Amino acid sequence: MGRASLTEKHDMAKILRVVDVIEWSASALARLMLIFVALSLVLQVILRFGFSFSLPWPEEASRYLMIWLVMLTAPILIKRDELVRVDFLDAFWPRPLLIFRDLLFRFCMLGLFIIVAHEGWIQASFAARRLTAATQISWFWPYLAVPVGAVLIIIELLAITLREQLARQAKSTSLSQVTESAQ
Amino acid sequence: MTNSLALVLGILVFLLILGAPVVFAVAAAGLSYFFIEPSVAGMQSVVVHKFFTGMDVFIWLSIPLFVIAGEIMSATNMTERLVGFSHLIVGKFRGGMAYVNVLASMLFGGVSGSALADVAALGPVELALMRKEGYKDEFSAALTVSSAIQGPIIPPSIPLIMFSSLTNTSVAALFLAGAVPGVLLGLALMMVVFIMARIHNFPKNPIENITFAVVVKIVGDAFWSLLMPVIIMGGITSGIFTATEAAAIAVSYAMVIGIVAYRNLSMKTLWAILDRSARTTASIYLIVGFASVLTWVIANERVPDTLQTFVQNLNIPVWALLLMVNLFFLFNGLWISDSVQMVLFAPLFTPILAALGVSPVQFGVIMTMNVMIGLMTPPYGLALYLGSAISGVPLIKIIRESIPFLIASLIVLMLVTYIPALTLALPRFFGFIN
Repeated sequence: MGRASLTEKHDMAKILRVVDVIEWSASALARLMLIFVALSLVLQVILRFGFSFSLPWPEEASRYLMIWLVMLTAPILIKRDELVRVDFLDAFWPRPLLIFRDLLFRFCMLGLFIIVAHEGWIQASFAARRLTAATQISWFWPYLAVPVGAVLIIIELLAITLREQLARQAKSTSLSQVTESAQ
Repeated sequence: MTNSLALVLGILVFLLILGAPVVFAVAAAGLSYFFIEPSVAGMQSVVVHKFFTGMDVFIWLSIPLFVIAGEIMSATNMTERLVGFSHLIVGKFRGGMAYVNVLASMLFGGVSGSALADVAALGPVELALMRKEGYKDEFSAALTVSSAIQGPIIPPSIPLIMFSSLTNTSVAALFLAGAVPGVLLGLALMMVVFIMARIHNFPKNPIENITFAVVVKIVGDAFWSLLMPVIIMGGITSGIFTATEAAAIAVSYAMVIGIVAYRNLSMKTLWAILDRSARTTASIYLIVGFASVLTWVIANERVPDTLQTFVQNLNIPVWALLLMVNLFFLFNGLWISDSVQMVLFAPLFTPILAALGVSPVQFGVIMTMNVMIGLMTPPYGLALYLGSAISGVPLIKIIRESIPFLIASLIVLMLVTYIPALTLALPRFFGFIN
């Protein structure tokens, strides 16, 4: 294997490590959001039932945080192939065609989420002028979850393709090594 | 139906059959409308807006919270405690372990709102116990899968929460409406077990060397788990908290029980539970978000109005229409998942049936029962696959053994469909409906 190819492989691995760190951070943030949502809602019940007093923000903040949580977790679903599918017909597909189909879906999803990211950013920028009812923050922040999540999904879709490329390269390298040693 | 809508629905069905992720199929179909239909050309921002507002619903928050509560209870060995309690109550009868399986699922249903969680959490415990007592694995797996579908009918229930939000129906009323049908389903399964126990001469499985101290210990062990549904439903029906807040209370309760009473909930376990719950939530929310785009498209094309007028002009009796709706859901259950059915069809059928006098509360339970039965019907029966995975029994054997239970479930579905009092009596008693 040439030096250029090795450097390329090394760079690809480095990019994938960065993607992994981004995903881990997004997942950790999503889990913390989930804890915050649960605690703020419990606090609301305690205050209302125990002290006849309600905070204005828990309901609204929880809704927005949950949207952020979903958009931060979506790339992980794609990475782990956990998106719900009608997959019982897969058994009837020839293997090469199945690989081609999945690749096609991935590129179509890439196109879809590029549109969502673009439109999401426009929507967030447009909404920035208004304030939310209870938390009095700019609508930009809740809406920002959509383009951010879409970009993370795009990164993940590209990373999957990169991972497959690396796996293919590793396979062909080990195959050529086996052939060489056999000769 | 306009050509644009026909094309959108065609894209949706084509992508689903092709095996595309449901999120992608729904999103692509919704988005394509803005490129196909000239009257909305260039309005792609509606996609993001509807996607956002579809997820921005307070009641949806209860889904991850109930998932977390159920997961915590499972992680703290609550399943073993519920099985132990069920063993104490029904183990002494002929076919005792099979009754235990059904009763434990019924009790677990009061904690978790998901059938798959029931199979995954209770399944291994029940299968091991039934194997020890000499039951065939295929029978045990079939019963585990069949009894699991009670879970989302007995409150709390994730499908009922979805239905509530999609159709603006009171979630408290739906929860109360699901209680009787859920228990009825359990009793129907027990009746099948009763018959099979006599045919196959199943053993009696009482707890050996039982003393008063043992009884107290078993009841004490299960007490905290059994208290959870009481707190949830008590709080909701008394108006102390909303269904979403009830879910948050359930999480806190489960955490306190896990850390203080059972002392077996570690931070590491909790972190993993949060990860699983976030992923479950995201997969549901994404579908719901993009389905909101599709719902907007359907509304823009005035499909509900057209369909309603069409159905009214047909002059079909309500009983026949309900039968057709049931068959439609059961057929769809063969190939699409419960949440997808809920998202696509609940907003469409509810107003039509309401106009013909069918209460949305009753219809919510009917629809939930249908989509749950769909989990145990091949080829796309997720509960079947999970049952096969945890038991190691080939799918076909589980399917064969589950036929009597499927028939019993269908009989209960018919009862719930044609006897409104089974669903409406409780919500009416508590004043949630007139």
